[in-house]
Amino acid sequence: MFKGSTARKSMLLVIMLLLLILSTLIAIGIGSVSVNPVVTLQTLFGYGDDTSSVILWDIRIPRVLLALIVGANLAISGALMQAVVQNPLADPGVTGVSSGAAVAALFIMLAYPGASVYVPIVAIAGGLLAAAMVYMMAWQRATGFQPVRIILSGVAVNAIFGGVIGLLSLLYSDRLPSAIQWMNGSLAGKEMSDVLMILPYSLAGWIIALLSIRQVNVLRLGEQTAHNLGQNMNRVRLMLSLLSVGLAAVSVSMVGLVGFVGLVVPHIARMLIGSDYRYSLPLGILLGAIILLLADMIGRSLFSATQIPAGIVMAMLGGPYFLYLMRKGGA
Amino acid sequence: MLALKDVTINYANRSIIKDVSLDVHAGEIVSIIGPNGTGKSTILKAISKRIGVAGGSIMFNHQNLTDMSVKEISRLMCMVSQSNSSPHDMTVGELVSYGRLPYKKWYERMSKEDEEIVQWALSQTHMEVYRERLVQRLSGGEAQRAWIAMALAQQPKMLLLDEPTTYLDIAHQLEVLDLIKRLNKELGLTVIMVLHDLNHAVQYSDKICVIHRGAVHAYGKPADIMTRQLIGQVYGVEAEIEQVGGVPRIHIIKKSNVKDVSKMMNIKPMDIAVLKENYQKLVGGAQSVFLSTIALDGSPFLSYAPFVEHDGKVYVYLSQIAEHYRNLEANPAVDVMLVADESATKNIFARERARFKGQAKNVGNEGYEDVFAKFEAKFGTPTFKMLRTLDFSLFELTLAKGRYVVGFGQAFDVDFAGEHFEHVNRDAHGLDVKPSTKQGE
Repeated sequence: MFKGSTARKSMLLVIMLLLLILSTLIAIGIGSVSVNPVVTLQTLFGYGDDTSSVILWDIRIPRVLLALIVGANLAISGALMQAVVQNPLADPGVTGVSSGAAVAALFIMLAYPGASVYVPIVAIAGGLLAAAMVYMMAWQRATGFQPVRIILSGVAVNAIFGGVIGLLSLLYSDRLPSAIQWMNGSLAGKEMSDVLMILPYSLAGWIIALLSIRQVNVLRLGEQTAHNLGQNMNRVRLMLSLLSVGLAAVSVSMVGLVGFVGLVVPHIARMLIGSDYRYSLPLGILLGAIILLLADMIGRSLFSATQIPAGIVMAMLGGPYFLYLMRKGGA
Repeated sequence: MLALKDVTINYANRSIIKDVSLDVHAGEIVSIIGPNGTGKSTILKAISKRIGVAGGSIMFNHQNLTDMSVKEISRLMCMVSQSNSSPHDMTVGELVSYGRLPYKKWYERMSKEDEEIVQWALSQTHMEVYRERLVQRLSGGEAQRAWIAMALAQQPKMLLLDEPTTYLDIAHQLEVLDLIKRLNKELGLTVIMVLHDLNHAVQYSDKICVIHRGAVHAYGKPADIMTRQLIGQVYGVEAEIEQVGGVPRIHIIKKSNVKDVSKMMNIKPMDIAVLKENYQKLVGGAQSVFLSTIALDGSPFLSYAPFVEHDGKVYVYLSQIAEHYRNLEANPAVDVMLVADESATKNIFARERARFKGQAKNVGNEGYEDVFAKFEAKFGTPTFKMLRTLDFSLFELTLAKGRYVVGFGQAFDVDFAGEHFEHVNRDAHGLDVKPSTKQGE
C-alpha cells in the first residue's frame, strides 16, 4: 500500500515513529500498578509524585528502553545478515552469535550460578567467539566469503553449540528453571545501568548501519553487479557481518535469546515499504523496537503471576501476523 | 588496450584456464566462443577482477589489474550477464542510477551531472520511456537494454558481456547485438563478449577468440579462423561454411560421430588401460594396423597405428594417427587428410608395400617390410572398405581372420566414454601425440 511514492514512504515512517512514541507511553503506564498516560507524561517531565516516579524511573522506563534498543538492534542485525548472505531466511543467529552466547551464559548460570553478574560479558565473549569461528570456517582464499559457506558454517557451529546447550541442560537439569527466562529472551529485572551499558554500542551500531545503507542496497543487485559497481565484496560482507554480529551480541548478552525480530521484522518492513533499504532499514528499526516493546508489555501484563518472556509472546503473536502479511501477497 | 599474458586460472586446485594470452585493441569487438565449460566466462570474470589469476598478468592500458582497486576497475569496465537479478520493486531509473556508484564517495549523493549521465545512458539505449517501469516487469530484451544502460552510466572504456543474448528470442538477440555494435561504433566502446551463436560472433565481431579446453585454440578475424576443421575440432560438429560478402556464414549440419567411436569399437576404460599398458611394448615390438588414407591432394597412402588384441577385438592406438596430421601440416599442399574412397584404397596395401620396399624403419625401428610381412602373416592381406567419410570416418578393416572396425579422423581428440587421451605437448593445432594420463589425474 505504501510501496509507491517517496512521500508515502516518508509518511509511513512518520506514522511508525508516532506509533512508537504512543506505545512507549502506554507501555510505561501498564503494569501491576497502572499509571495513566497523563501522569506518565507528568512524571517523565519531572512533575510526578514520588510513588509513580520510583515505579517509572526505576522499573518501567529501563525495561521499556531496553526493549526498544534491543528490538532495534535485532531488526538491523537481521536485515544486514539477510543482505550479506542474500538469503531471506537468515537471521542474526546464522553467524553463531546466539548459540555461542547461549552456551557461555548457560555455563555460568548453571555451573557457576554465583557468578551470574558476569553473564552479559561472558555471553558477549561466547557470541563473538562463535561468530569468529563461523567466519574463519567460511573463508576461502580463492573466493573469499561466499554466502553459502557462511550459512553452512553457521549451521555447523550452531549444531555444535546446540549439542553443548543440550548437554548443559541435562547435566544441570535441577537448575534449569533459572535459565529458562534467559533462554527465551526476558527483559525482567533490568535496571537503568543495563540500559546505559548497551546504549552507546547500540547507538554507534545504528549510525554505522544507516551510513552503510548504500552498500547494503547494492547487494540487492547480486554479487556480480555489486562487484561491477566497485564494491569490494569481501570487505563489504565482513564489515556488515561485524556490524550485525556486534549488534546481536550486545543484545543477546543483555536479554538472552530473542528470536523472531531478527528474522521477521526485516521482512515485514520490506512488505510494508519496499526493498530499498533507505526506507526499509529505518522502518525495520522502528518496527523492531515497537514489536519487542509490545511483546514485553503483553508478556508482563497477561498473567500477573508469571512473566512470559518477550520472545515467547512475539513468536506466538508475530508469527500469525507475518503469515497474514505473506498471504496478502506482500512478498 | 587490454592484454592478457599467459593467464592461468585455477579453481579448486584444477586449472580451468591455462596460459591464455589475448590482445584486445581499443575500439574492437572481440567475441569469445567455445563449447560449454571451456572457461569462457571465467576469462571475463578474471578481466573484471571478480576472480584472481594463478599465473600470468592482465594489463589494462599498461597497468596491471592487480594494482588497481575494484572501484578503479569499475570505472574502466562493466560486465552484463545473461541474466541479472534486481529487487522486485526497482525501477529502470533507479537501476541505471546505480551505475554512478563507482564515482561516488560513500557520503556523496547524486549530483545534477550524474542525473544527466543517467539520462544520457537511458537515451543511448532507448530506455527513456521505461524509466519509471519496474525492471522485473520488462521483457528480456528490454531488461538487457536496461542493464546495458546501467553499464553505460558507469562511463566505462570497456564493456564485458557474458552471453548477453542467451535468454532472448532471435529478434531481441539481434536488437541487443545491434545496440552493442552501435555503442561500439558511436562511443568507441571496446567490447568483449562471450557468445554461443557462431554466426552472431562472426557477424558482429572484429575478432574471434576460440577457447577450447581452457586454452586459446585460435584468435583472429572471423574470416581467417572460422573453418570447418576448427568447428569440427572444437565443437565436434560437421559444418558447411559459405562466404557471403567476405563474411563466413556457418551452417551446422549435424553432430560428428567422434564420440560414437567408443561404441563402435566397444572400447571401455579397461580396454584403454590395456592400450596404455601395451603402448611401450607396441612401439618397441611394433604390431601395426594399416589404415588407408588419402590427402586432399588426392594421393592415397597407408598409415599405420599400433594395436592390441583384447577379448578377440582389435583396438588401435589412435593417437598414432595424429603423427600423420602433423606431417601433413608441414606440407602446405595438403590441407587435411581424409579417408580415402574405396576404389582408391582397395589395393593400397600391396602398392604401399611395394613403395616402402627397402626403406629402413618405422616407429618400432622395424623395417617397413617386416611390418608388412608380419601383418600379412598374422591377418592375411587386408582390403579396405570405406564406411563413411568427412571429419570423422570409420573403417571396416577386412582381414582374413575377421572384420574389425577402426576409427579414424579426429581420432586424436576422441573421447572414449568420457576418458580423454590428453596430449601433453600439444602444439598450436593440438596435434602432439605424446600419450599421457587421462584427464583429471
